[in-house]
Amino acid sequence: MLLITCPWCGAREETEFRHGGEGVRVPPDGDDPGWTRLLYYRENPAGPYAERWVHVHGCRQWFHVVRDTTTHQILSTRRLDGQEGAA
Amino acid sequence: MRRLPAGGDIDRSRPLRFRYDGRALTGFTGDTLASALLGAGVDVIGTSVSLGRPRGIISAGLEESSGFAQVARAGATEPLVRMSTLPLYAGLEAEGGSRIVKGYLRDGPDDGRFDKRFAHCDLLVVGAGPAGLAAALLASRAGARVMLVEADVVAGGALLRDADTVDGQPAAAWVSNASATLHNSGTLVLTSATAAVALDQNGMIVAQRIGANRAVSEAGGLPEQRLWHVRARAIILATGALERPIVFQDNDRPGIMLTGAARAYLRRFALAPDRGLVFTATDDGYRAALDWHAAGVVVPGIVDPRAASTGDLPARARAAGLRLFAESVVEGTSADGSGRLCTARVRGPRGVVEVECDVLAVSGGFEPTLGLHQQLRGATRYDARLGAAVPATPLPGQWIAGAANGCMTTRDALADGARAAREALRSCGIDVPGTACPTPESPALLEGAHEVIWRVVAPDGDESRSFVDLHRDTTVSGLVRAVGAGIGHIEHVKRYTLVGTGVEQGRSAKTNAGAITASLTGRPVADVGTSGSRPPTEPLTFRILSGRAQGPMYEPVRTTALHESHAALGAIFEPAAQWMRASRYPRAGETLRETVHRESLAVRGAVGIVDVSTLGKIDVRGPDATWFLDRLYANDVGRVAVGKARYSALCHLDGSLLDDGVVIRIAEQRYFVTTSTGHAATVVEWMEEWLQTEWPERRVWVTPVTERFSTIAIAGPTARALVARLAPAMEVGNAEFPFLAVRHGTVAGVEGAQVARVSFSGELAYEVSVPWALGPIIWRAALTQGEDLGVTPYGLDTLQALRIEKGYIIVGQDTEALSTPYDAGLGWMISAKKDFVGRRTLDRRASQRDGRQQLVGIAAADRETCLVEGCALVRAPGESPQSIEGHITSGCWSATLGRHVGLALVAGGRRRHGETLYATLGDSGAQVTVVDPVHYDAVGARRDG
Amino acid sequence: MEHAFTNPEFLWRTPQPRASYDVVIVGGGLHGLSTAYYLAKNHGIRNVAVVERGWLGNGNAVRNTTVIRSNYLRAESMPLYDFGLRLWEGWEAELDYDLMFDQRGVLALTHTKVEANGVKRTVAANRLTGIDAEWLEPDDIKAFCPIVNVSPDIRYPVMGASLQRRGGIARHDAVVFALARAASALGVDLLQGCEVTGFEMAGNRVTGVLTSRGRIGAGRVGLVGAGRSPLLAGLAGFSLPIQSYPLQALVSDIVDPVLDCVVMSGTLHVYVSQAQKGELVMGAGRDTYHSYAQRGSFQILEHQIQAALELYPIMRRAHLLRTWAGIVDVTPDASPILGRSPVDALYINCGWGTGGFKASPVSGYVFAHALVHEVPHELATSFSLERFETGTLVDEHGAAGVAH
Repeated sequence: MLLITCPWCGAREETEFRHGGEGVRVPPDGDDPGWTRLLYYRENPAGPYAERWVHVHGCRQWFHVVRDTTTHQILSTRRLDGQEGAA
Repeated sequence: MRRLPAGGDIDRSRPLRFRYDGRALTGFTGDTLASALLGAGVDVIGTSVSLGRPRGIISAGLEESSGFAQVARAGATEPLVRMSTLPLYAGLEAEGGSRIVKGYLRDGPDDGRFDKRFAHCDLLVVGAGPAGLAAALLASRAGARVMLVEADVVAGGALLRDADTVDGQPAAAWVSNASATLHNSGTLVLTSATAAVALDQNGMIVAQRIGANRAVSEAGGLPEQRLWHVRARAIILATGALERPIVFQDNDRPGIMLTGAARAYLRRFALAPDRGLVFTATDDGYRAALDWHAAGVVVPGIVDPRAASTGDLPARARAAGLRLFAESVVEGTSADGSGRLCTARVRGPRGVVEVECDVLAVSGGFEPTLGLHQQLRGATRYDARLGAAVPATPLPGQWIAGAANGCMTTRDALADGARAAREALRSCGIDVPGTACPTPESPALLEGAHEVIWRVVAPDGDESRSFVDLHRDTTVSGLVRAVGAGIGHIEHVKRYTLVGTGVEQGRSAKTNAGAITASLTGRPVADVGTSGSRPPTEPLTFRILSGRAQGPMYEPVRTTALHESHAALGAIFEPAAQWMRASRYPRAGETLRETVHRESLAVRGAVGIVDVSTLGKIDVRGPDATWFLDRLYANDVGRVAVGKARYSALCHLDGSLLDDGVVIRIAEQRYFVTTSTGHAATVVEWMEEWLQTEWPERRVWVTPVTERFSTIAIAGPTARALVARLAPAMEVGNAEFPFLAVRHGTVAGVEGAQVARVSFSGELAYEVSVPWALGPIIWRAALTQGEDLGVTPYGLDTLQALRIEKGYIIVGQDTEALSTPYDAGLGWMISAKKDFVGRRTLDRRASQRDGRQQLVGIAAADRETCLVEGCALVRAPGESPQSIEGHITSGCWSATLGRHVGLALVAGGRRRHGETLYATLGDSGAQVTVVDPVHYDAVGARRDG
Repeated sequence: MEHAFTNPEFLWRTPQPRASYDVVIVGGGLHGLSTAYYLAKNHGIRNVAVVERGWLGNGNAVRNTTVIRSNYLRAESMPLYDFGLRLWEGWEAELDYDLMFDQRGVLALTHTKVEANGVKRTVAANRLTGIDAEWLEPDDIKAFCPIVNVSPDIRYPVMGASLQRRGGIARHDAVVFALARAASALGVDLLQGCEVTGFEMAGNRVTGVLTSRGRIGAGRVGLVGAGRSPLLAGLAGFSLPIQSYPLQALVSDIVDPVLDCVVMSGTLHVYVSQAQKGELVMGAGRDTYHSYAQRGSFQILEHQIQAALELYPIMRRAHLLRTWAGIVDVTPDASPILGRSPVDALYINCGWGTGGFKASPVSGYVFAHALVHEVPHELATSFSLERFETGTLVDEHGAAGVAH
């Protein structure tokens, strides 16, 4: 079970959060291969992984997490605007 | 063994009666089940798993690989409870025999209570032996919040069996003083508490036996067991070391135990053999002989494979006149008629001697307990001195101390515990000056070099009785067979021989299994290693994982404000997502179909009321609310006028339907959005995700308000009359209040009620929303004031029938995971003018392929034919295999049409209206006709009227 | 003697790698071994190596709950999985090994109307395809599996179940041993401790694999590295539409028999069977986050046990003895990816998600065909990587719903 530091609320148990994965980056119109990748392909690295979580049973805020998928170590959490958390 | 007339930590003034395998026996307060059995002369506790060999107790603690029992408890029965850490209590009932290796489960009442707790601390210390106590003492003196957990019944670890002194006091006395100091300083000390599962980010699952260690009558209100979720800023693993047995022929006889166990039984429980032989490869094993000798037990000798140890303990043994069999091993044993040990065969430089003994204490040395470290993939390295794995580097936030860290003497363990505590506290920002908290001192002991010995080769070559894993009956012969089959990797050996798969996960068998495999394959022990450990470190009773979340508390039940009102009307309820909703309101003697028939006709012919409070409701507001909803919903919600509603749908990025609902524009910059019951939370999260991650610059606020409003739909041709009575100040005529209009006003005296002309039944309908708690006022008023209009409450069953007649879908029931709005007959809704989430996929050819599964209506051929949801639709019933055209997604008895009708997904279905198909679950088929999904009032005259 | 296996004879050779092979299979799990076995047996291709970074079967082969069934939903999937089940039915004789394959029946419980409708739909589809399937009402369930709590008073009452009597379990370790023995006997080199670190390419064609034990030339290469498929694809320079998640399972201590079938519950996220040795084997839903760490989160186990005790109160005092997690390849449509990759001569077999064990025979069977003939086997034509370009997915989320 992970302990995740919400940039707004501080360290909380994983059960308060929902994993959002890599998230989407909508490609420009007309980029059909880009659209296919958006639908079905996501980063899936072994090692540091930039993902998003939402504090769904808390402040309901999404935020960035960098987590090592081989150790589950959380390397950083940041607000969506890139700021360090105040918590 | 026999009980000595005095000594031990038992209370002889408080005898306890218990039963083992039906025999009435007596022990003392302070005993464990294991010590009580030994004290009662029960040396043979049961038989082994596959060979049926008699077995006894091996250890006095966590090393136990033989002594497990089925224990009756609270009307239930628990399999495979470890005897050596189960405190004896009055009336304890246990079964051994074959139950030492295989338990049983029994259904029936179970009054036991299991709880969970959550704890946070600066420092969690696992293990209350010398290192753990030293660490906890130092940390608590430094002002840290400390938690100390000990798996055994009492704190102390190795100090409880050792004759050493600490800070000038006898070890046991120092332990009680230390425990008292910790208790007084507010440190939470848990005993009989196993740190079972190591979690990421310094979490620990700790399983504690509390009430389960006492008689039910004495457990009071205590739970049997408690599961602790602990989060610590730093963790010290002071989990100690386990003593390793040595493998030799017939090494499993009752009476053969570990040297630490022999000492613990003597010191703590006053149990001693008549003649106690010791077989040890390290100095530490000499302690058993010295302790026995001091207690007056006959010690026929100490068998030591080493030439001569220069250590202090062997010197003391020599001084005491004890016989030493140097350069010798025990190569076999013999037993009496009941299977108990009676002699050991000692082979030395001058040949073989048979030595009479009733207990043989064995020690292959001690090895660190590293299960928790290994659970999180902590690295280890092979230590040739110990002949076992030691930690390489601790994991972040963790420290390993004492015997677990390879510091095997009391003196070293105390110092290492203090060292670890200082380092751990420093990581928490707490600096402890060296002078502030002195490290407990214990006299130094000169130790001779260990001999690492795993196995004594059987003199006659028969190693089918040389046991590596007592619990699984794995022998050296089994390992020989595995290696002979070409197997080299220790994990394959484990899986081929089952070594290490027992209830204790082969804790005391693993190193021997790896080392013997190495010797059989001619490889270095370090290369072979040991099989991995998987969590938990100790078996956890299933119920401790569920805690109180059983039965009614398994998952929260949500009820609407009208729940009692429904119940008072005799409603039958059903789960819908987490809610309980009223299915129907049967009258006495009515069948299900009769109830639905009556309720349906009431709605179609007069007026019905239904509780739809569980529909999700979301308040969306802000300067960009219109823009935002336009980006998410498929149709032009932005063009909805204030005071109007529009039916719409949401798509995933891949164009599949996520949910449908009604968007009401309350004000220029404010919307009230409904969702289906099951998708309420999903849609809120969906909105927040897009808003926060894609369009953070947009000024929109999304608030879930499902439980702020009770919503009651009033539907039927006389609904207008009823609403007029309930809201006399509201203009309810079709001109003033047309379909899809929304008004606010006073309803049944409730001010500020929202009334929306939306319909899920196809009838003239008004959905009235009022503050949650006031729902019953509207409900009661509607029932009272509508009595002469024929008002009838209806439930989900009728709601379903009415919406199926009208071809209204439920997303998730009438759609599949990949169904698009086109597939669901909602293509009309898709705006040609704008982009929205999913649009680009919908524009792709695959999304509009002709043969996709498309929504149709189906009508049964006659009055008797029932349309079962889930049925396949085929061309030729009774044939198999054949291709499947589609399936029934919804079916109901239509009171209005006098036969069953339904909705279905059919390949290319939109162009197949009029076709005959057969509905089947795989055998006989019922004839149906593919029709338009709207079975009733296709022009919508009733709804709009 | 109680040994898991009664075959004392030799299992497999431990050869040194040769300079090159006709086919190199990357991944010594069940699907990799099965592929190698069928290459040799069905196609006479014996100059084959299986390269495995750890020990044979160290991945999901030993991290699953051994459920075998073929009751999938789609016209594309049913023939594939049912052919697989028929291979299982012949494997003990064919491989001459006691696999403890036991067709004790697989029950899939339903707890909501929508779920029941979906399962009935699958029953109908199965029967119309010639796959055995039955729909059981709660009373029938009680008769078939007496320990299931079918009381209408529980939080999510059981509304019915599908039953596939030909479904069942086998012993995973035995299957590894049997396949490895058979493949080795046919000449396949099983190279353990041999980690692939890269691929040797000539233009867009793979010509060899670079490993921790040196370069190995290859006529063709098959990637069968469940749990690590995306990483292997990355080494070859392409991506897969796969996400890697932990999937946890557990066993209890050994108890007398209480359960003689497999029972699954999608809504409650739990499935359970009892092994012949006596331990209850239980699986859960998958964890929510990406991982290659082969461990999951504890609350998944807590929820799983809660659900199990709702459905089977008799299990209250069994013990959680061991837990583990495998890493599963999850595709967008819960169907596998089989066939060509963007790299010439390099083929992929992955994406079996949470249900790979059951597919061990058929996966190897059809993949060996693809490696030899360069076109998919007729049972596997719908499972190409291209479907994620064309949008013709084979959605099996319903049938694969709860992990198994």
